[in-house]
Amino acid sequence: MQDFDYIKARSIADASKALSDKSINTLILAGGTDLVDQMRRGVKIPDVLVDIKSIPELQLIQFEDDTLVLGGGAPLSTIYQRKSILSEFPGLETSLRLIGSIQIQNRATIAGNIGNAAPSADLVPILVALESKATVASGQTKRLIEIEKLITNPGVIDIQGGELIENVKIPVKTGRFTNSYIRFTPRAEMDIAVVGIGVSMGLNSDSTVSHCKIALGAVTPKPVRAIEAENYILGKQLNSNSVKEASTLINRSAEPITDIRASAEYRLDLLPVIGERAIKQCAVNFGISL
Amino acid sequence: MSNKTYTIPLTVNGESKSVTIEARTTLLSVLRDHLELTGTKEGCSNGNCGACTVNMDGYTVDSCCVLGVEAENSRIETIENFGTDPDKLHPIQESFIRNGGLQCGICTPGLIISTQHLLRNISEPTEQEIRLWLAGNLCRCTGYDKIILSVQDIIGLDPG
Repeated sequence: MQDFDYIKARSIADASKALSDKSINTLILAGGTDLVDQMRRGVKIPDVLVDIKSIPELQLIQFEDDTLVLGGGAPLSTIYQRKSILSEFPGLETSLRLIGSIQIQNRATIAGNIGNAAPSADLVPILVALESKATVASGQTKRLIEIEKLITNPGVIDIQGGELIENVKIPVKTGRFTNSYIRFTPRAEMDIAVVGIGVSMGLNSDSTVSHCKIALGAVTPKPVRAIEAENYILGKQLNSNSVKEASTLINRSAEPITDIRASAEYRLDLLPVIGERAIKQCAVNFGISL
Repeated sequence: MSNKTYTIPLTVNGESKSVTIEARTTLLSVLRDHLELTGTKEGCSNGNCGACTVNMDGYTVDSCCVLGVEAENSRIETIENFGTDPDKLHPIQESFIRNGGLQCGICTPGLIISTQHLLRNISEPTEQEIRLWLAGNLCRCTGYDKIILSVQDIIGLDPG
């Protein structure tokens, strides 16, 4: 590993200042679970690393009015240890617990999972389905941007020099709402999604679908929602027929590629199956058996 | 390229230490090369195998993926914290030996650290929970069944 300078930022302004110098290659160090390995392999060769884990705002995990705020630098395991989060966001818990091992979850961060912008990132589909936004901050400015707009291409996010992901804000819905995340991997643990689907769903009192957001992982270069499937099921009774029909429409939003983990054809075969399981998990959460 | 060094105070197995390192030095290298604590093993070097697992401020981490500079003022526990008296090993160590939970032994320090972390968090884990919490520690010898048995056999004992 080539050597570099290390800066432990104590505030967003500190970090922003260090990240603004365009004459050198300055990278953000969050959990480091990908970055340290990339540096070791020479894939990333920074001049300076700015460690953002000691910035207090980036460690916050709290409910603010009708929003859950997750600090960008908080380890994933500290998020799913909060019982109040788990009851609201079972799909978020599922995705957090699927990322790497316990050792990785104790270190990796939500900002890192988003910032890496891997199409297979487990947190992204559920965050998109939950209509989450990222607070992108510099020393002087803050802006809110939808996660699906923040990630623009594999490995690329829309942040400028001097900016970092301060937190992720997830709206908390009141009433009959739930969410789920289901992925397919060849192995049960320690694997990377071949297909991942996040669903956020709401029901009216007559059990017709009042709200449905379906977001796809590992089958598009950047996050995408399965709009046709969502529109199909909206207003319909949540039953095995409507779930099956909606699931078959998911493929219309996918552009899978063939890579080391699966062929594009296989991913297209998997999508309706995983989609059906993800929607059915929402039904289970509602106490409806299909 | 930088030629800076950083002086990092940290607590290892209850003892205050200080190391002077380059920014690129991993926590694994701090332990093995600077503090001569070679019980922590290097396996894959990329966060998959868990051979280098140590406990950092109450959480297990892959020490190959943590920089030494990040460990400033942290409390680290390694396998050297277990069984300091050869005649009276730690109950987790005893159980791995008794149940055949190890063969070649290179994964064992990491597995013992992860087992302790599991039992500190879940006092009576199910088999599924054991498998989940130890998924980040690969073993190529045992086929895992005897590792699961080793953990099940000490449920209820103080993990320390």
